[in-house]
Amino acid sequence: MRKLERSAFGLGWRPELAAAIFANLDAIDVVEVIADDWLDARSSELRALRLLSSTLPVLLHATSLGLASTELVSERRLEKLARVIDAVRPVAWSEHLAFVRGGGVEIGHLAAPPRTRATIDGLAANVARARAITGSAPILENVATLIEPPLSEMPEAEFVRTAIEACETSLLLDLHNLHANATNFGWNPVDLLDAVDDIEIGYVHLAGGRRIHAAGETRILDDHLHATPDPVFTLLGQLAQRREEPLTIVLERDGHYPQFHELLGELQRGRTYVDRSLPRAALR
Amino acid sequence: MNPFELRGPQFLLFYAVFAIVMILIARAIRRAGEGGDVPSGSSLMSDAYLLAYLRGGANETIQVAALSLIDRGLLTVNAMTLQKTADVSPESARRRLERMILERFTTPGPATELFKSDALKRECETLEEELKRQKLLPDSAIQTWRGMLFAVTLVIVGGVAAVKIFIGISRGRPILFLVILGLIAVIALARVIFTRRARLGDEVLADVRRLFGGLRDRASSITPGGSTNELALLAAVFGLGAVPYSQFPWKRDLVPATETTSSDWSTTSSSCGSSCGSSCGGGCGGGCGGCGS
Repeated sequence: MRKLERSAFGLGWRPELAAAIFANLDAIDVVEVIADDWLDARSSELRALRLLSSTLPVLLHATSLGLASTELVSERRLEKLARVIDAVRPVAWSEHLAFVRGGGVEIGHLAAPPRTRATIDGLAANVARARAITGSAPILENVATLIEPPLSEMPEAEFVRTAIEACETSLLLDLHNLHANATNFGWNPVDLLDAVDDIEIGYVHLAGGRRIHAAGETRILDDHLHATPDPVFTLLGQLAQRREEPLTIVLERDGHYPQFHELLGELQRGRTYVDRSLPRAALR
Repeated sequence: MNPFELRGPQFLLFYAVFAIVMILIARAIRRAGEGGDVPSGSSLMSDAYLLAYLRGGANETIQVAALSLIDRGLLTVNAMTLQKTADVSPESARRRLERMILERFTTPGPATELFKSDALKRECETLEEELKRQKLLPDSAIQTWRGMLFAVTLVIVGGVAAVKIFIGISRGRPILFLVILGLIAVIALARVIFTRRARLGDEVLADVRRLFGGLRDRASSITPGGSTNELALLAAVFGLGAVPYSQFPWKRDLVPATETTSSDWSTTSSSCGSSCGSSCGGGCGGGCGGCGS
């Protein structure tokens, strides 16, 4: 990951937002492209993505490798991803601390794995395989979940830290996922910030979700269809305060697009939280 | 087999195939010499006027500029007549091309005047120079290369015809059809070699249409009022045909006059607007909403 002199803010690349992104390059430093949309792209289509990355920095975000699993990640998928990476030359690429299939069955969404030593061993093996085939290790993202992963042996904060260390990579810290899990299961999100205090942050996700009610319980669903809520910005400020290095922050939005100035407003609000949070070094 | 011993119709068939093959080879050689990458950090993707010029030339660029000015409330259009909005200073426009349009329409004038101004076209030449610098339009080096390629291919294609014509004359055979076929071959060769855009320009335009495909799909949701540059980008990439009447009803007052005058572009805005850019746009987004990413 390229080292920045100042914090960078960007958006998830969606074709619906393309022109608006280019019309507002003064406010957007980076875009995050969903890698899976391009795995089967023709060379001419990848050339379009290359044009994008020649205009502004691109992060590739994979969603379907299912690295956090004791099953070996598909070599064919990794080779397809490597083709995209070679064509686009992104700043970095990322995946989730999640599994998406088991026993040959596709789950259809990102599932939080059992937080066990065996999962971490499987994850480390898959990340090593990914590194060997693509040429670089993915930045790994903490995922949101509506249920506590069964058979878990450790709290999420410890799992995330141990996983990142075992894989010798950096963390894509999704602050809405953190907020959602902490709210859903009644723990303090700062515990995770504490746990990863000396872990390299590859970049940060901001997003929004909604509250859902089922079986008499309330959960936050990370649907990327709503504005970033206040607690996520508060977490961003707390994170920035702990970090001496500039951060890269990407706002995710997957539908129900508001007027573009509202998305820019969320980015600007993020800047405000980061700028007013003096890093620890400055306080010494 | 000596092709020059072929009889009239057989030789015409041979020559037609030969000319087509030579023209295709020349096209492949031209394209091989005009590839490359857009310079890193290029402003092309965010500059509606550069994109419009790349797609359609000066008239198209002027048309997009007028559209943008109207949308931003700096220029008004009524019954195909343009006028700078009262109390608006030309200096409030950010680009020199826009200021020149505002100055020209300080007093009301027909929209067709946009395309009669040599000054506006000269201003557009700065865009042409930038596009040439980025190798998207043929610069002098590419023009020289094309000239040499044309000359060599012409010698081969024309030479074969000339030899047979000489033989035909010496034997008292009719040569009219071969002369016509030879002229057609030369014209086709010229059209294939001397294209308006360089290969890189064609590719970049196709790429931009892919990347902006989603914009066409949601054109009706673009908010009038010029709060963003989206309308100008939409028109620049896909032509005025992609701008929805429902959102921008004043387009009726601008388009009839301008569409008939935009003749310097090989691909019209309406045909491009409806045929390109959809191969990828619909399938490239999405993402992982709702899956806990």
